[in-house]
Amino acid sequence: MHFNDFFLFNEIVTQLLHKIYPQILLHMINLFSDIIIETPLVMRSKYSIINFDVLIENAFSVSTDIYLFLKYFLIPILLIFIVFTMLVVLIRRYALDKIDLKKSNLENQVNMFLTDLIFSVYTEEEITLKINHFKKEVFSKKEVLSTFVFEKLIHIKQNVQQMNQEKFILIYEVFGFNVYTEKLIKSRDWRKKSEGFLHYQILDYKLKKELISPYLKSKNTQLRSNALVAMISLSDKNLDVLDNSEINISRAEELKILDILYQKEIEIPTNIHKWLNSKNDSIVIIALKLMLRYKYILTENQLTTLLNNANYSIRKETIITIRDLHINHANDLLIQHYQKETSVINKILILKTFQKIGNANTKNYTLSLLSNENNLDLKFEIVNCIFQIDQNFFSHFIAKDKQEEDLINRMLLHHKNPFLA
Amino acid sequence: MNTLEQIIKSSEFFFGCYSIFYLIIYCTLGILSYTEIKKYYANSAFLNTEVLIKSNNTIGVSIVAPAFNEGKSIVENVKSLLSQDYPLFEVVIINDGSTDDTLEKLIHSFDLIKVDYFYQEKVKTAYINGHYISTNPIYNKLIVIDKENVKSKADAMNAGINLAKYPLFLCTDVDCILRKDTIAMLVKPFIESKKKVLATGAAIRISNSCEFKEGTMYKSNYPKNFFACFQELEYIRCFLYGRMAWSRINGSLLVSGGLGMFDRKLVIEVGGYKKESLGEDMELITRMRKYMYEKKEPFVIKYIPESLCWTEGPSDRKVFLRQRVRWARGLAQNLYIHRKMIFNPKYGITAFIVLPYFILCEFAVPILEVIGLFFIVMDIAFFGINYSFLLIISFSVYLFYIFVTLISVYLDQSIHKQYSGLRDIFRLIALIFLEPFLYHPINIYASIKGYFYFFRNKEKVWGEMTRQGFNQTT
Repeated sequence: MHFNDFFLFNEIVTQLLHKIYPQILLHMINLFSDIIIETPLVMRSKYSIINFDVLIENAFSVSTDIYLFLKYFLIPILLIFIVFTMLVVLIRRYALDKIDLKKSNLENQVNMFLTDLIFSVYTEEEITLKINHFKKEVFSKKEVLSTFVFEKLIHIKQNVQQMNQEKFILIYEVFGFNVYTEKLIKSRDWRKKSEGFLHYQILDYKLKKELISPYLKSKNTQLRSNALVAMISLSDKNLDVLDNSEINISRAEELKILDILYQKEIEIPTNIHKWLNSKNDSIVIIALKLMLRYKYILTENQLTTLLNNANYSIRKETIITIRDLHINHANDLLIQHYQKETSVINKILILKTFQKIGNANTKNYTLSLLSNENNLDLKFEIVNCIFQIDQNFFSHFIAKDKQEEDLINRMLLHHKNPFLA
Repeated sequence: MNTLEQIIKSSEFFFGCYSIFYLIIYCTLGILSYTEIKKYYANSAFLNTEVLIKSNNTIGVSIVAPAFNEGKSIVENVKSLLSQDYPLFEVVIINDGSTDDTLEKLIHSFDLIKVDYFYQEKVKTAYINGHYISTNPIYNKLIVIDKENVKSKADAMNAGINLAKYPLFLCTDVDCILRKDTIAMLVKPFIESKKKVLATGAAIRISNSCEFKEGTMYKSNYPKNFFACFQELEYIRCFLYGRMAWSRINGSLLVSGGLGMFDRKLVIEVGGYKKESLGEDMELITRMRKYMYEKKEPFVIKYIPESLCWTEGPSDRKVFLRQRVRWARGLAQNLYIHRKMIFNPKYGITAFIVLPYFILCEFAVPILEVIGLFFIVMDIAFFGINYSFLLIISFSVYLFYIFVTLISVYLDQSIHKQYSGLRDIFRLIALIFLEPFLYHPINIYASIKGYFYFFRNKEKVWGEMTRQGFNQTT
């Protein structure tokens, strides 16, 4: 994608449109008003019959204006725009093809150079010398090619585990990419700032993280969000940024934060239990997801509080955590919670959890629900729950009527099929 | 001035005003489209699709694709659908009573067995013959429904929606080749938006002449076939100029049946696709909008300017005309069904902007073009005509059309480096100049025929699409 080109050229088009479009509009309004104004008032009165003859005559009296407007204004403008747009499309494509060709010719050379630099044993001086030579030879003054090399460097960092971080940072700095990133962060465009944050985030460049922190309070929600994610990424161990419950975290940010936390493979933060009490629901959800990942067993009190939370998503995450961590001691809690639960999705999740952690109590409880349950999705899971706990139960089960029996048998056939399980 | 002359002159006045109105509408659409595309790319890096692709915490999606007599390409296409880069999805193929070997090929190629699936008919559909799943773990995301054909794609889609297990479903045609990140791209608005998202859509391209490798696009070539090449041009204009503009003001009335992601629960609540409809995709969106207005819940329908889907366009006149006649009929039918929404304050912009636009600028245009031609002939025959004026006005309209299409091509080329070389771009630009003379009249003919069938209430026929299959590169 070539966003920069796109934005640059479009800026020109916008300027032109902003100036010309209102003029065209104004001219047309003038023509209309000419037609109407030149029609005598009496003909527009509600008491008179509109005389089309006059209206049309007036319309045709301005037809000369229209003719001149089209011939000397609209047609030339359209022709200029058409030729200009055609040329832009063609020249731009030609230039892109040329750059791509250069890039593909350079690709091997750049890959070999960077790999050699990263994985061979060189002194700081040797690295500096090699990079300066490479810069002079390959991309002197060509920013596109310099960006191409930087993209390759980032790609290596993203895909190669366990490399010498200090050496990598040295390469980044000797190339001068740190100056480029800093320039991005200091630019006025929030998109460029965000791109700069992303560079620090990917490269794990903690040295300049103070450049990002002021944007945690930015009014631009996207910039603030990107700054938050970058700060979390550059934080050590306890992720204190998340202790601040005032930060509002959206679903998208939640995914981004979790992605970083999983990628970094940090140890479970020691303050994670504090997050469970956070007033910010997103932080509670992130805590639950991390607890699941690190197999952190929640206490009964913690589970009770979480299951009573007003937010449906927190209850959902809690049930998923119980299910995936097989927290058997939560079985009775879930039985108590089932009737109180208002969300059908959460009820289905509880039944699925019962299928994993349930016991004789659970079977009796779900059996008591079976005949009165009219929601087929829930009934389907209840049948499966009983079946999973006691595989022989339905062989001697008598339903309340034939229709119910047929229904349960159909559900059982589904559950018994190993490929559908 | 006698009556006939008065009618002719009045109509000339009307056409003049209408042309100016049309020009203003299209300039406005262009500006809206441009701002929406700009906004999209400004925000595109906010949630990287890579994050979604890797995440275990994202929303599950069911791909629902009906197939009718697709034996020629079904295996490759299903493999392509299964190769989506997304952590949580399933592929539901509905064999809609195919009379060829579609089902047999599926069974054989994917090691399918018939299972006793507990099927809930949340939306009423025709009889289901059976459900098939794969015994091969590689294809554990695949499920096939074999159902009776009732000459309705909507009915097949409804069967798939009933079976889908995830909260979102991606509606597509089995002949469509999707970009690997299609699900991730279309899910993004559902995750990012603060308002309830009803549906998301993206640009569709013509696959004729493109080369595919292992179910994904390998080389994008501009179509060579007459109908396919003009359709490609039409799609570029339609998706990038039209639909992006409507997305800007949350006025989308159509998320294409070829590629669209929907909130499954909501689709079931409104009763699924309408079996009787010939433009079932547009009708569903209109009904969903109506439902949300009545519930007084804010909503959005989002379009993204990415080309995510390649579909085989009709390559002969007969199939092309049949498709266009059906689309025209579908449009007329939808506007008729939902006529009570028009100018009803309860339905917001749908009532005051979207539906009037569809009536005045989509439905009415073919009819007005024919009437306009009739009046020109009448003028020439009986009243004389100012040829220089006619020439100037026709040339202006022609140039304006070229301008609109070129802007769409420019936007398209700015977003992605489409097509393999400059030669294709030259062809594309050359065709822009020819389209009004060669392709547009055929479209007008099909639309008029479609309206005629609609008003005559002729029995609806979906018809069969003759597939050429895709060019495979080894």
